[in-house]
Amino acid sequence: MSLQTLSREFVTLFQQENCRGAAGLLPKIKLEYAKEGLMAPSSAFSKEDLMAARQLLEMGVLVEIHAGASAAEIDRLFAQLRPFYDPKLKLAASDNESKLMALHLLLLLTNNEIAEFHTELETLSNAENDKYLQYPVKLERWLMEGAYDKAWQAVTEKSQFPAPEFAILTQGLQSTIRNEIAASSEKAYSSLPFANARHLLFFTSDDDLTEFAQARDWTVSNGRVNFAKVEEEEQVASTEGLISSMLAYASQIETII
Amino acid sequence: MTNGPVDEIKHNFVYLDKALSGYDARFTLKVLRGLPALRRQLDSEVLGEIIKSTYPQNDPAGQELLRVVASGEAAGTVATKMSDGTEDAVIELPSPETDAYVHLLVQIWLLHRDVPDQFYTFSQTALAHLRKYDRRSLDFVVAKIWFYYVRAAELTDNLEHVVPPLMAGLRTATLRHDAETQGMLVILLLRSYLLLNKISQAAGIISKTSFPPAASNSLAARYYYYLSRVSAIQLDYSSAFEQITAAIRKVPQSPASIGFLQTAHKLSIVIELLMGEIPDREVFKKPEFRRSLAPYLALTRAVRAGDIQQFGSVLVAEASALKADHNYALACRLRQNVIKTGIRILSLTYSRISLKDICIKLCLDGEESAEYIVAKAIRDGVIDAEINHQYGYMQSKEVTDIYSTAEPQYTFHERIKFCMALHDDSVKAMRYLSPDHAADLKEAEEAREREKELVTEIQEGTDLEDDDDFEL
Repeated sequence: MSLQTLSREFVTLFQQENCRGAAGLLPKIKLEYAKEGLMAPSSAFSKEDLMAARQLLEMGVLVEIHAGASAAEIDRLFAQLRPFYDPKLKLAASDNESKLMALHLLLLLTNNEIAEFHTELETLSNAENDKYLQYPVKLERWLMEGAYDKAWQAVTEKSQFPAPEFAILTQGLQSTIRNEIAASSEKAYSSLPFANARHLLFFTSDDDLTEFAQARDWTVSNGRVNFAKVEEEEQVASTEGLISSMLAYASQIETII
Repeated sequence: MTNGPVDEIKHNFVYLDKALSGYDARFTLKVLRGLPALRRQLDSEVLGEIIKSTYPQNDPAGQELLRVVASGEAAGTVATKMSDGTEDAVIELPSPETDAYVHLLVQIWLLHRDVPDQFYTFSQTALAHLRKYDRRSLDFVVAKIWFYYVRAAELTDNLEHVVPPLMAGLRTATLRHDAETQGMLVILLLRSYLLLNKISQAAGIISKTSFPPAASNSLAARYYYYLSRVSAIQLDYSSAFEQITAAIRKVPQSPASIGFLQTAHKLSIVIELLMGEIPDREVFKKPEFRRSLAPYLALTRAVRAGDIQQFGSVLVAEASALKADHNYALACRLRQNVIKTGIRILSLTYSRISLKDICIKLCLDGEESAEYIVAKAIRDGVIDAEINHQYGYMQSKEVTDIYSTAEPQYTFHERIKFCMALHDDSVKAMRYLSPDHAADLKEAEEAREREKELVTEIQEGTDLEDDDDFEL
């Protein structure tokens, strides 16, 4: 099959929202592009070709997200798409650029790659005001501050998502947020009434909480959740540490004298 | 026209030759140190005269230099022909050092004439011309030429084109153990990447190359600055702070480096704030920093007060200044620190405070958020407290005596480690005379002996004559 027919078929499938089918076609299309050298975009290619390839890869990312591809796979697609946004190519700006960048940021956030997230953010200038980019930026801020109720709303309520793809990527975040809350609660409370704990951890049924409590070694008695106290770390300086640093000082002084 | 600059440059040629014959880079460094003062006196006439008296008549490099100098001068006062020079004697080819130095002078002259395109093209030809030499005595001059090459690329918006030549240059410099150029190129690569916003590539360079310890201090200071910036972006604040401190300490404490110090202090303040510490007030008070650090002082005040609204307004008011310093994104991350400081202040002030009051005092959006935020602060070790969910308050725990913990021991250890490192570094930085100086030393010793004898003789003599003189 030629590239044109492949692309056309891909676009039709995309429009029909047959994501699995489209995702199946993607590797073939990428192979064809690679043969033409379009996977390494440069100004040697015509702008039409580059724009077409860019659009196709953009769709590819969305398709892969809908088809439930692994994070590593989506990440790779982003890496392939990135060179097409280089201003050196002098292409007309893509309407989807900020949306895709936002999705990439979100992906980094779900994988807990915070350093990478900030590295990416540093390269974007308009993150505060963009409809799509705002979302991952705010979400990261809430998570870092500890405003988990807002973060929870952001990842669960439909009205909060700027586009349906965001909902798919944030699914992993729900358990992350819950674990964060659990870890904070262990330190902040000695015990909590069962109903309150359920509310705090955003569980809808009591059974879910019981299961969750068991997994984290919490004991439930008299309608309260008792958190296992984490052993305080040894605060007093250990004798071995003291001896070894004293010996180190002694040998240093020896060399000086 | 005065002969001042021409004479000075010729004098510098002698120094360069001395550096070559004595294997002593100090003379080259002395010449390079004179550059800032010399650059104000440079004009096309001076350069023309220098080139004519340095290069043989039909040397292509000399002709090229003259052409550049002449084309830079709109009035065309410089004759392009070599034969116009007054010298009749045949001039020998200049030594590579002199050759490189003249190229460097022309580069500097072009930079200050504000002709970026010409500056860029000339820098390219200069590098291509000097590539044929492979002498360690050239390192310092060539490193400078690389520096101006990248500066030219920056001015002409050609930064992405310089990366491949820089990489090739780095490879060559590393193979030749050319520490100065190697260090310079690593810095230039980092700078280019950071300006192009390619932070992950910059991080790649840092992890894949090692900065030569033999490179000069001013290069090391810049290297540490870029290192710190990358670490800060990647959230590794404690290393970033160590690196920026190293940069500030390494930089020469002269008025010429004030720009660098200001920039470094700006970054240092933001990093310190991000680490949850408050920078020393002394830094802001210094007269040379007061104006440039003003936005950062406002930022520090907001963080110190733990006032989220004040922080928000500072961020808006100083956005342009922070963006110009490339510190805006870092400053935005401070939001969570402001909240934490606020909670810490509340926890220290009240032994028990309701979540609602926390919410009001910190201007948070809701009591529910406040509870989560306080819980996270407890977990992060910002405060030592407990939350009572039923009655909705935060109860601070008794402050433990810090001297009963290992903390003083740890701090003391850190300080001792620093002093030891300082001692070791100063020992390493000492200069010792090379073995062939031993002979000179012996002679000097003998001379001193003779002098001593002479002195005693004279003294004895005067002692004897003392009585006579006294009478006069």
